Formats: sequence, structure tokens, C-alpha cells
Amino acid sequence: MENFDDIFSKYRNEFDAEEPPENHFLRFQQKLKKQNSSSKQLIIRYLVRFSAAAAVFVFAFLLFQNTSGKPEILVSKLSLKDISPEYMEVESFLESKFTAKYNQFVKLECKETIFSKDKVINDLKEIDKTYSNLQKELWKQPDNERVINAMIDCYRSKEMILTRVITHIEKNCS
Amino acid sequence: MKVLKNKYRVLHKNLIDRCKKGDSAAQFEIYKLYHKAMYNSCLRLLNNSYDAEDVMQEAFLKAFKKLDSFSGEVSFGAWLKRIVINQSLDFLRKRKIDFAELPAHSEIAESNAEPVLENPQEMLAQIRQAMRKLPQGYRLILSLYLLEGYDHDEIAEIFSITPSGSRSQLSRAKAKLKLLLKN
Repeated sequence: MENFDDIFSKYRNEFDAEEPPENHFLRFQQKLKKQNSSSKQLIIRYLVRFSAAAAVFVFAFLLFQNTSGKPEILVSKLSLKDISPEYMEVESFLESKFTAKYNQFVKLECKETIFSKDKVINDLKEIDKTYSNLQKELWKQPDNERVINAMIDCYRSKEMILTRVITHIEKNCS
Repeated sequence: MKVLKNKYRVLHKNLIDRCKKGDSAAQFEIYKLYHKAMYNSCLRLLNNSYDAEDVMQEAFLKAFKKLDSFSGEVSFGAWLKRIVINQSLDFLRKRKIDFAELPAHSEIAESNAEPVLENPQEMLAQIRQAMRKLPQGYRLILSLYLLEGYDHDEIAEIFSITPSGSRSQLSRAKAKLKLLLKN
């Protein structure tokens, strides 16, 4: 028979048994990337200010050169569907899966005050921002498979967040 | 053993130095080393796995931002743990959790029987599970005192109570935990 204090002190490490939810490494890397790029941006912003006008001029010139033969792509972004018919199919599949989950999510009600729908929507918006940045990257490097895979991961992450939230609401907020 | 420990310490110091320079790879290595302990501290305080992950990760980011203030007087883990716990308590405050509102004594049937550790792993799993069922105030006080090394003066400050109030709340929290284990 052991005293409570002794049990907690003797087996202290056994109390750290739980693992964070799946894909937490990926989510942390995204947050880390965002934080590090925003602090770097503060330094870079000052340096860039003086060359901005020239850069805009060069970019506009290149854009005109690159798009004169293909007027459908006048923005500096590419979606998966712009890459090939196969990726168009993939993107529309991922989009429809996400939309179905999102519709299910908005219909659910939760009385638990600790749960916030807005927070979930903000998380999804954060991933959308990442996706938007990746679209710009894809414009620069349309053959880069890492960028393409990261874009697919964005869809998957959004769907996974909603799946987890829906499961949580159904389990705890009925 | 001592050589290994020193080697680990040097590697660890190198990682922290690289983190100070904003090296993302080193920051991720530190996360991989400490995430489990930090996550479990958050989980015990917040009792929700998604909130715990979010708060733990925000605490890591905050720690990397203020790494220059880490003097090395305490271990890096202990320094990081304080940030993680403060971040968790701030999160609860923002959610308007009233720290002063601890359960009343009358709610608890006293139990003096200590848990029997015939099968430690099974018993510990039961304790962990019972802790998640404790009222929030009790869970916080028990976690801070028994697992995070906070003393009664520090707990009293967090809950805006006296140190003797903290002592009596702790014994009630233990009694409630024992009761949950019995049922």
C-alpha cells in the first residue's frame, strides 16, 4: 500500500503517457514556418522597400511575356486543376469531399462553451492561406512535385480537422 | 554514463544555440524532444486533446521567440515547462474559467484508503483516467502540486486563495480522486 504522494513521485514519468493527436508534427512545422517567415519578413521588408518599384516593373514585364500566348492564366497562381486533367480530377474529388464535410460541420450544434466553431473556421482559413502561397509557388515551378503534394496535403488537413471536430461534437455535444 | 550525459548536454546546448539563431530544423528537433512531456502537462490542465495540442505548440513558438531570456540557471526543460503551464493557465483564464471557484468540501465523501498498487501499470492507468474525471479546480491543483512541482504559495497566487486554502483544497482533491478510484 503506497501513499498518493509517493505514487506520483515514484511513477512521475508514467503520467506523461499520452501522445498528441495525429499529424501534430506537420501542424507544428506549418506554424513554425509561419512564425519564422514573419520574423524574417520584418527584416526583409525594410530592405525590399527600395527595390520594390523595380521588382514590380520586371515582374509585370515577365508576366506579359509569359502569358501573351496563354491569356487564360493572367494571375501569378496555379491550381492543381491547371496542371493536368488528372490533377483536375484529383482536385475536384478533394474539393467535393471537403465540401461535404464542411456542410456536415456547419449543421452541427454544440452547447459545450469550451468548443468554438469560429476557431475551427479560422484554422481552415490558415490552411487556405498556406494553399494560396503554394499556388504562387506552383506558378513559379509547375513541375515541382513537392509543391503539388503539399497542396494535396492542405485539402487532406482541412478534411482531417473537420472529421476530428465532427467526431468530437457527435460524441460530446449530443 | 557521465560521458554520455556530457555528450548529450553539449548536443543539447548546440541545439539551443541554433534555435536562438532562428534555425527551424533545430527548433523542430527541440519540439520532437520535448513535445510529449509538454503535451501531457497541457492535457492534464485543459482536459481536451485538441486544445492541449494547440496551446502546447503556441508555447513552443513563444519559447523560441524569447529564447534569449533563457539564462541556463534552470534546465531548458524546466524553463520550457513554466512557459507551457503559464500558457495553459492563460488559455483557461481567457475561457473565463474561474480559478477561485473550487468545489465545496461538502461535495466530497472523505476516503482515507490509499490506492493499492498490485499491478502498477493498471493502477496508474486508472489514476490517469480518474484525474480526467475530476472537477477542473481539483485537477488543476493536483496536477500543479503533485506532477509539476508547484508549491502552495505559487498555487495560492494562481487561484487567489491563501496557502493554507491551497493545502486543504489539495487534500480534498486527493480524497475525491481516491473516491473516483474506488468506484
